[in-house]
Amino acid sequence: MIVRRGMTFEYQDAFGIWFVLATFFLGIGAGLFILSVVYGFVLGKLIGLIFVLLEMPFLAIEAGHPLRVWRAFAYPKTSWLSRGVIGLNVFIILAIISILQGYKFLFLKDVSPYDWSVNVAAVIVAVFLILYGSMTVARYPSIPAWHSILLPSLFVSYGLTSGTAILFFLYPLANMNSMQLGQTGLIVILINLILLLMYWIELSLSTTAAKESARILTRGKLWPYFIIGIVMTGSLMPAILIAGQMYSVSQQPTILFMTAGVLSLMGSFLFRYVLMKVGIYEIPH
Amino acid sequence: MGLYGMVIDLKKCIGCEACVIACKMENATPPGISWCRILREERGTFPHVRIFSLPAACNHCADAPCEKACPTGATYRNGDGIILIESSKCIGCRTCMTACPYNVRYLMKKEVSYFSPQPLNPYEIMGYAQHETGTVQKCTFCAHRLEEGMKPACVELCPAEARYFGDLDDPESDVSKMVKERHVYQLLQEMGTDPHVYYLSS
Repeated sequence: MIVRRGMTFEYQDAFGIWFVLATFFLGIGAGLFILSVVYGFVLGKLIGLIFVLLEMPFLAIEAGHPLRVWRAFAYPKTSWLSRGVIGLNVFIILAIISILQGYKFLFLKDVSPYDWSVNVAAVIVAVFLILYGSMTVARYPSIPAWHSILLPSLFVSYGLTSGTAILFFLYPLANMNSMQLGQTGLIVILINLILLLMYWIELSLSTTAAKESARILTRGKLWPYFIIGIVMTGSLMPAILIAGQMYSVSQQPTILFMTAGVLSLMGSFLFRYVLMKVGIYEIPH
Repeated sequence: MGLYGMVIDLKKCIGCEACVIACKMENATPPGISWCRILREERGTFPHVRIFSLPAACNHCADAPCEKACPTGATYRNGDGIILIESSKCIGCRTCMTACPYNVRYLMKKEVSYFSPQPLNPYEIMGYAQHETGTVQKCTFCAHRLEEGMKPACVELCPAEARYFGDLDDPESDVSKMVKERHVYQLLQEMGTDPHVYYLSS
């Protein structure tokens, strides 16, 4: 038996809390914008745009030279960060047009095909924005825990979960059907849980570093964050609360929806935080 | 114009870290940053145990993920196949650091003295002038020395002569002969980066 000791796994320390916050706010904003377009909720679109804009200062803080960030437009052919920065600007323009048209729609009660083309384009770019956040880390095989085809899907589903979480606070203003919103919330949480399970299984069956990441998630130092924080408090609890609100005798108490929203947001944040913490390089061999 | 590469003979390497010191002296990297480092591993079972040393630095890959990940073009390949960073273009976004499978890129956060809290000494002031804070840095194969016809500092100072450096495109060079004729391997070949640093197995 050959014992190999000493050459230990190295954790990534390039991305930290600012990157986590940037992708968290981007996920909330883009997810909320997409759902608001689906539900025709103009205020939701505006708040979604504000959340997306909140990503920018965190990205700037993360960069060593914030004043040079304009240079990031230069290489969209190969760099996902470059694509993301361009997408962000396109989204801001489309979102503003969409919001302005939305208010016109409220007053004039007039829907032209052009309105929908802008909305559809804005939704496509919003999905792209969520994807760019994940592809920036998932594109390269250097960190096996990130190099997963499931990661972009997880970012999209967590983005929609976060968007739903904010809608739980706003839906009384939107004249939305709470039953429909609750169903959406339950579906995205269920998708999250399935994708998380698939992701963990994929890590467990992959390279040495990926297996170590999977071990850390369920048996290592991050298990409280993953099992208690993300799965139980961030997913199962909100699902129970949403179901409780939907099938409660009284349709009045929105407190259950709001609590579910807070817990979902916490789960979404922890998901990104944990993902940064399980970033381990393969041992050179 | 050529294609510079390096071969490291792990049978000769004694893990003395002279290459690490040579690199630090030549490039004046601040505390916590070492472009060249030695990874160690204990191999075997008692009493037949030995320490395996693996010198690691930038591999100047043919298909460098750091180059593709860079959103500004700050990371580029020069005419000699060396991956370099143009500090004035680097925004310090660190995507290249996560894209590199060998974890050999470093962000210079601030100028720190080795003798902190004392201020920077004259050597540090002079040395740090070549680095820009807030940007990423890494091994350059001592490109400034190559321009003057010298070998990289780690190659020059290796007491075991475990490092070979030369033009991989020149069929008469030591490195290209070794790559062709001996059983060399590259680190993390499965990543598909095709490094220009080869290792002779121990």
